[in-house]
Amino acid sequence: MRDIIRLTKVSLISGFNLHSFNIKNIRINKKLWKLLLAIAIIITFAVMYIGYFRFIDKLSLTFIQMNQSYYFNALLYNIMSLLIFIFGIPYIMAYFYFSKETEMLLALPIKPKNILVSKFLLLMIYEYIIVFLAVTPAFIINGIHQNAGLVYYVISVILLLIIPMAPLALCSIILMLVARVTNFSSKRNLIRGIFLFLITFLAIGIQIYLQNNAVLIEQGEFYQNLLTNNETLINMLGNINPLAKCLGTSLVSTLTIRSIMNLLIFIIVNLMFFGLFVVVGDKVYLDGIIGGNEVRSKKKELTDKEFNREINKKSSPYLAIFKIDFITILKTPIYLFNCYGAAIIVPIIIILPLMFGGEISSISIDSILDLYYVNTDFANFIIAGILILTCLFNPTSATTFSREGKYFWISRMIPVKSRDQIIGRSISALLPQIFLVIVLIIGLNSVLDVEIGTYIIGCGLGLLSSIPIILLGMIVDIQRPLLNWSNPQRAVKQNMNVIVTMLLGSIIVLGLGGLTWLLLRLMVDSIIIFGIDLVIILLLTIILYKILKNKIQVRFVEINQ
Amino acid sequence: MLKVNNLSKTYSKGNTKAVDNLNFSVKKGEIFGFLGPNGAGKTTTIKMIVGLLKPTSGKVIINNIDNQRNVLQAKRHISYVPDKPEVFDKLKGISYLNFIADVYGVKQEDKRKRMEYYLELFSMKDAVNDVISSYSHGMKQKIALIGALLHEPDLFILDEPMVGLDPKSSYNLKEVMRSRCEKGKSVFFSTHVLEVAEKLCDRIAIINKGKIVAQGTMEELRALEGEENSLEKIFLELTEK
Repeated sequence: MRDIIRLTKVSLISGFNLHSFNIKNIRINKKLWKLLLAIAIIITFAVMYIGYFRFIDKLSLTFIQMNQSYYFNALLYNIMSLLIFIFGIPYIMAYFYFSKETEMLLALPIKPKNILVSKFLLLMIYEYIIVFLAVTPAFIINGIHQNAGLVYYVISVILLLIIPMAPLALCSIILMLVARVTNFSSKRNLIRGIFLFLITFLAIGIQIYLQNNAVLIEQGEFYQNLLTNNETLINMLGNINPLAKCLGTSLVSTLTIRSIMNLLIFIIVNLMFFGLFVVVGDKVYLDGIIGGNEVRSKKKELTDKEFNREINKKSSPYLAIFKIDFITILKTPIYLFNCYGAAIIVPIIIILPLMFGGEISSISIDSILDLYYVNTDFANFIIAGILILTCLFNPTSATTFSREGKYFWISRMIPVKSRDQIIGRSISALLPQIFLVIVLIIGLNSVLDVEIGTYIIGCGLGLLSSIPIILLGMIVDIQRPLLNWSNPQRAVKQNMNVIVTMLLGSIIVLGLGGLTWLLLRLMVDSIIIFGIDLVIILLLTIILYKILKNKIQVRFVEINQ
Repeated sequence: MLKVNNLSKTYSKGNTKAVDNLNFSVKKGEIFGFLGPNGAGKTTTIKMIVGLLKPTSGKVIINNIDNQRNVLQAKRHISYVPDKPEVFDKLKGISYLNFIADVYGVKQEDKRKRMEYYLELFSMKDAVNDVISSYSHGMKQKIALIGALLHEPDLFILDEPMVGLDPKSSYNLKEVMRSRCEKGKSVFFSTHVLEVAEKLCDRIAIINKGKIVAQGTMEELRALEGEENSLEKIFLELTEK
């Protein structure tokens, strides 16, 4: 137990960089723009959080009015557990298998089981941040609406501490088994990368399938049940996620034997998942790491012909920069999942419900067709908007320098112009967007007769407007690259540059989107709107490119690595 | 070839002087050794010379080019191998070398000749198709060395180059250093192996606590201490004061 506590403590200090944190070092930044940026970020977060408060307040009241008061907390748990599971996939993979510290820890006289449990606890602590931010206000608001007493809040605290356990343990078990199986392959990183996607699709697919099955009730019967039985919705949810039902029925305003029993079941089942995780981990975790070191890629010496072919390959500097960046993304499962994942997962999330959603899917397709044919201009700009948004949420450009970590000295040493650095890195950030456009074109063509305007306005504008967002991400990253990490997850998932880019980029998106919407309302011809947008994008691209070019020149010399 | 004028680097708002007003130069065709105990400021100085660290004050002139003003031009004249050979570990050795050749604009024929020669010399031809992450420390060091030699730099800068190399590779590297000087190029390297410095270097500078405490040829250093001492004794005398 001491080992576990010690390891978790060390991991926390290293993970949150606590030793570098000194209250004396906190000083008000004298540069006005930095101060304004910090204030803007805080205000944006505050506004978003207040919006979330208001949303859950309304939702909680709605369910109480519908006589389904148990459902709210259970629904929230169901969503949280799915999110913990899906977003836990890259986290677990990174902390269990791709962290450089693991090899060092395994050399110490510490039981592998203790290392594993300490890593699990660390992930639980990370999840608590999200759980506390998202679930605490919901439990409190729902408690206030139900006039709940102290016991309700005590149970809430217990539940908050347990919520991440089962989804994280289940996800860890699956990933440890995958890692164990794939460890025999010399291309295990690539295979593991593919598995990260497959497990995500599977989790989303199962959720959609179960949800569709859960609502297969006659409409009349359903409404009748809603009025007469205050557990109709929670029972339906219980069919998908029994733990959600346990949580919903244990967190009630008045304590009953049933609520206590459900609380105990919830705790015991979560502990069982954790126990299973420890047992499975003890059996397979070590083999998932150590075994892999014995399997090296097959040594393949080059023949003279192959050697000549290899050294005859020649690229311009920007292509050379692109190749390095692209290969590194492809060969690092965490980068692949985080940088290119959305481009693959987003279309699947849209397509899966349409394909397997039964009645809902036919309604969705009809509404898409209606929207497109009735108001094609509007639909085209919506498509462009979707493409900009996916670019905004993509961390590829905002982590382009951070991802290089300890190898960044090479980029700073080589005599490559800033222009080539920008072009090379932009190509790898633009690739998921291009992939999305291709998928979008194929998808749209399969359900409707796509007009030429859709290609030009929707896809063209969407792609072009991604460029200033990409440049903005690079500016943010070169300003303060996160280079000191031992776990690739930190470079992309725990990199504030991604958040800052999203916030600053949303100003561009809102500005462009707002202007387009206004012009559409004023019945301005879509070609003219397209032209105005294009000019703005072009201007933004030129301005941001110049800023970035200058920043790279300055920061490549200044950065103290 | 290299002129370092009044070079200083301070940290913690000027409270810690890592490098204090250094002055030295490396001539064409010269091997220059940079010695000093741990934490003396060797790596900081090297990083400022290659442009990885911004000096607090002072200048670094490479082939008459100010490395702060004409950054790219200065970089074209040098190459650098760090003490820890951190090279893109997801790439194959051959891909890394191709990348370096591409960004330095090495001509195809030159690339072919040099790659073949250095891969053979450092016994890396069989491993060049493997991923760098599978390399040992020494192999990573060798692939970084080969990459640094591909564009025939005028000034070859190495930080502790012998660490991790096997005796044969270490010998070959010393031969490469000598042959570069015969061609009129220069080598600047830091080392803890005093024997290597004594035998290999035309001139030596000893740095201690951020300041150069002695510099010159072996004879000049001996004359400075007034005895027929070995470099080891001179080094200990100068750095333990």
